[in-house]
Amino acid sequence: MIKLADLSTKSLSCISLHVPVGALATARFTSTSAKDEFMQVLLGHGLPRGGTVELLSKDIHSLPRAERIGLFTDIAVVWNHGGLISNLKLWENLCLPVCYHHNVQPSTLEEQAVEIFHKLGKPRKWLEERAARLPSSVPEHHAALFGLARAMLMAPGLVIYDTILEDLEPRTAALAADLIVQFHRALGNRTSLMLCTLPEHEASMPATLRFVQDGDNLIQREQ
Amino acid sequence: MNVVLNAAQSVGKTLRNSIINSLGAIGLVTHSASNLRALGIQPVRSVFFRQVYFTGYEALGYVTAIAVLIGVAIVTQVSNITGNNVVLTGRVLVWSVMRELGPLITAILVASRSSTAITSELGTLKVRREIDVLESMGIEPLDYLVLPRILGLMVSCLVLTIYFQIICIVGGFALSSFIMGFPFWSNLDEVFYSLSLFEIAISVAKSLAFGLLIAAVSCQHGLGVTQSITEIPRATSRAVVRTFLLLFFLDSVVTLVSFL
Repeated sequence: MIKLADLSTKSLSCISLHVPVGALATARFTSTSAKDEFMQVLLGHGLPRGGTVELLSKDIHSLPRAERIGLFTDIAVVWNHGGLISNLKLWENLCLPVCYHHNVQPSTLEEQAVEIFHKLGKPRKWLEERAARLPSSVPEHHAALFGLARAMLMAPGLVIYDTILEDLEPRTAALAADLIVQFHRALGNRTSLMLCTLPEHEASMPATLRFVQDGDNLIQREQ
Repeated sequence: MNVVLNAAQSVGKTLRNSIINSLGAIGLVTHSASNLRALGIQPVRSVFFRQVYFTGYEALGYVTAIAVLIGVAIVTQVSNITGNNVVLTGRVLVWSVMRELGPLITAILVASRSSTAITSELGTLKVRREIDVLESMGIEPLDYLVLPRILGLMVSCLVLTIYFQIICIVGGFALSSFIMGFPFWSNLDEVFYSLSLFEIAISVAKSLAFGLLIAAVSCQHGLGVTQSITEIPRATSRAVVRTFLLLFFLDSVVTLVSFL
């Protein structure tokens, strides 16, 4: 599902890793900049210095642009800052990918969204108070929750989490970690990769595969 | 010698940038034309309606004011020259507003509001890497951001131009008949006798082409912003200047081809 072969970026070199279908994996980096570089290359937004990246068995950097974008209909990325579109209201952000790919009205997603936020410890009223606001009017850790809920509404086969737990309050982070695990297990063959920089957040994930940055390499750690 | 070389370099650079920008804008139009079916997607339709609301509906107030003022000015000037010749005054007003001023002034008004808004909005999305975010949701940014803006501006330009022409002609005659005692109804009759289907077709074609041009140039400049937020105001002013230049150029070409 995710396969890197001899991948090199500015600060990492010759990374080879394989996250098979259905696995829940973590990758812990020693710095945010190394993690950001890795993320850019992993998603095809930046070119690697060498090596290949395969997502859903497709070499992301050799695909034509339209095909690469099309591949992301079954991949969700949960950004640490939420990854919300600044000129859309929070509710519109939440519904955007599902409405775009399945051509449904946003109102049909209301109950699902309320349920996701309920599991994150946020009642319906909390969501309703924020739904009509723009992303710039809420703190980044709230925007991150909307980003997480947006990914869950997409119900993708592959989810990549970008240090999502690191800016959340401890209680919300614990609830989010539980929800991520539940979400991973809800679909038998869903693959999840959690990128992190803090050992405690890596530990909060019952991962089947753990990768840790060691110098300029990313090595698999024994369970 | 150095001054000449620097000037030549500067001209060369400007020319090269203009060619690159023009090709970029043509690329956006081609992409949009070949992906029109994306307008059937709910969020794309939503951006389209928002664009029509902002460019078309919200501009109605000041388009009305400018149309009436221009109508009054034309009727006053022409009647002053022709000595209250109702027939000629009516014809000159219709010809100038239908053939030239209607599409051109509406396009200038649309460009002054929407070109800046589109360029800065897309530039901000680009700098904040939100275009990458759209791609990572499997959303083609050109379908979601460019196509509805191009279509929205084309529709808005067309509707506003028709509105401008009606208000300019009717408002001009109404105010002139009130101030100068011109016979209002016989003036309006002249409008219908002076209009030909060809003039209406050219006016429609011009307004659609102007809307397309404004949107394509603005989107191209907005998406051309690369890294820094300080590029956005520069891109915005360049987009407005180039839009105006191209508007006048296109208007002259269409007028020459159609009426010479």
